[in-house]
Amino acid sequence: MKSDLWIVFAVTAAFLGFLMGYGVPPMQEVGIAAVGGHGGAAVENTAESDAVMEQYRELEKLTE
Amino acid sequence: MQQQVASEATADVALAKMTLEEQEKRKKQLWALGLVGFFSFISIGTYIYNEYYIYLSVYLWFGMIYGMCLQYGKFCFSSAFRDLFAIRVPRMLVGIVIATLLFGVVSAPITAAGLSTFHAAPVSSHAVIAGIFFGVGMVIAGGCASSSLYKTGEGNMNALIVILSLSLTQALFADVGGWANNFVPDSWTQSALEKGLPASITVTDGWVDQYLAGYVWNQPAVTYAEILGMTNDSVSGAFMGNLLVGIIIPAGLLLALVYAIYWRKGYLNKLKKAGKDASGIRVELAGYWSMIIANKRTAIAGLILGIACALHMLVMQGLRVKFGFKNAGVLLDRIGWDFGLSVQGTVFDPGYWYVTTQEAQWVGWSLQKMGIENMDNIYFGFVNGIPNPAINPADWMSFALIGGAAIIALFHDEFKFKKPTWETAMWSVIGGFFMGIGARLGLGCNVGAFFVRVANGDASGWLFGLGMAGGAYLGVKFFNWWTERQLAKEMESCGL
Repeated sequence: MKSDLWIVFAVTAAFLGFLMGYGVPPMQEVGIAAVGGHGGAAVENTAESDAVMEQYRELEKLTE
Repeated sequence: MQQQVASEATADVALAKMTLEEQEKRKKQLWALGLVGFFSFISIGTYIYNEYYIYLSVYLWFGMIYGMCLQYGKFCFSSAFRDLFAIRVPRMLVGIVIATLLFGVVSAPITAAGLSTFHAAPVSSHAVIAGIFFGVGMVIAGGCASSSLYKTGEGNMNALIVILSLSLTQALFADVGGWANNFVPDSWTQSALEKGLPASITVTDGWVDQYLAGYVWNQPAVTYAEILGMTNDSVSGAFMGNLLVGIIIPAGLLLALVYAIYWRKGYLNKLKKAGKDASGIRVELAGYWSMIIANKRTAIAGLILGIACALHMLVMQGLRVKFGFKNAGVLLDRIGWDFGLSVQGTVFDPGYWYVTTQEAQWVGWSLQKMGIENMDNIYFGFVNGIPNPAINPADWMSFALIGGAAIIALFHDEFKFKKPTWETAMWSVIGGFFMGIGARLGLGCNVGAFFVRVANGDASGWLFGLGMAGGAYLGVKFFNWWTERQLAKEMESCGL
């Protein structure tokens, strides 16, 4: 039983390791300061990033 | 001779029974491994199909870890408050506070580095009122939003009813207009109109819409760091403002209060009975510490939860940078799933652990498919969308959370299909209803509006917690009254 549980932990750790290896390096490349907690410099949005959309995004943060 | 045959037969029966039990256990373990295999297959298969699906897999694997931790630590806010108020046992509550504290410790460096996906929620008395609704509901339902998920993973069908009731209530409440508009103050309507929302959002028709745009959005959304004049993404802001002032001091005071009211007397009595010295600051500190380590299982689960929550935010942020978007709506659009995106092209994509909104989205999507228009409100139409649950990022987290809990329950032989009775089902529906109202008023549940917010220094987190405690107290009092009433009725019918 214990060894089987370790299989679960090993598979989970392997996936996590892969996901971290996949997700974290891009931030290192861009630089932590550039990310600034707000999604990076080169960000695509479906709508134009005009003042209204910026206002909408601020409102969106308050809603979840 | 006869005796020997009889004893051999008994031994055979015992052996057969043991073998059957072992076979049953083995079967459960194979189911658990099957679940892990299923999640692995989903992740690998979708990644091969399209690289973007890896973003959803992040939610999936962290959701699985959350489920495993919750089940292992029996992490339940409802039990925590019920045990405290009904039988004066603070173990679970202490475990949860410690877990929140540990999450805060792990989150602080990520916030300081500017890598956190967390954003503060509006702060005002609405958080306390929402917490009261939620607290009453979770005690009546017998489980909070997160524990209902892990209990579903244990085969508890009452918990599943709670989830369904909570989800349905949220989806309907977010869209309720017409007669409900009569209960909206004019100032909210005016303020909501001034926000200049897109034409597709009928902001003057809907109680929640006007509550959000006309009241909640006008409240300040600040962290403790910002209140103290610091920025979140600075060492002083993250560690001094959010962690020390926002978490360590209030959590320490709360635990001291719990110690004084619920733990101290029993601890000192134990010492006196053992003939030991029961006075002095050292004794008090030792008592305080004994309370903190009383629930190791919850604290260990909390530590792993805290680390997982923080890593989750880090990886999500990394992938957003890699793929170049702020919200998964862009990703879904790129892979051809554009149904159910909000008017801004967004979907619910918190970037951290969250429970209730994705549950409301399941129902929102189903209602939309049944021909009910619900994309004209702020909750679905403007912010979160109602994407197909099969590709809803946060839904992957909730499904995997149930799966993760099932895995640990199956391994520990704690998985058992529990059929609800009419009475328990009724309480589950009523409790889920109150939790649904509370979750929408507070913009989150015991996880999104309390656990995550407190751990990230959001000033509204403790307010929701305060309300939740008050609501739980009312819920416990109501249940005591109900039970006594039922008992009196039964005794009366028996002529006692």
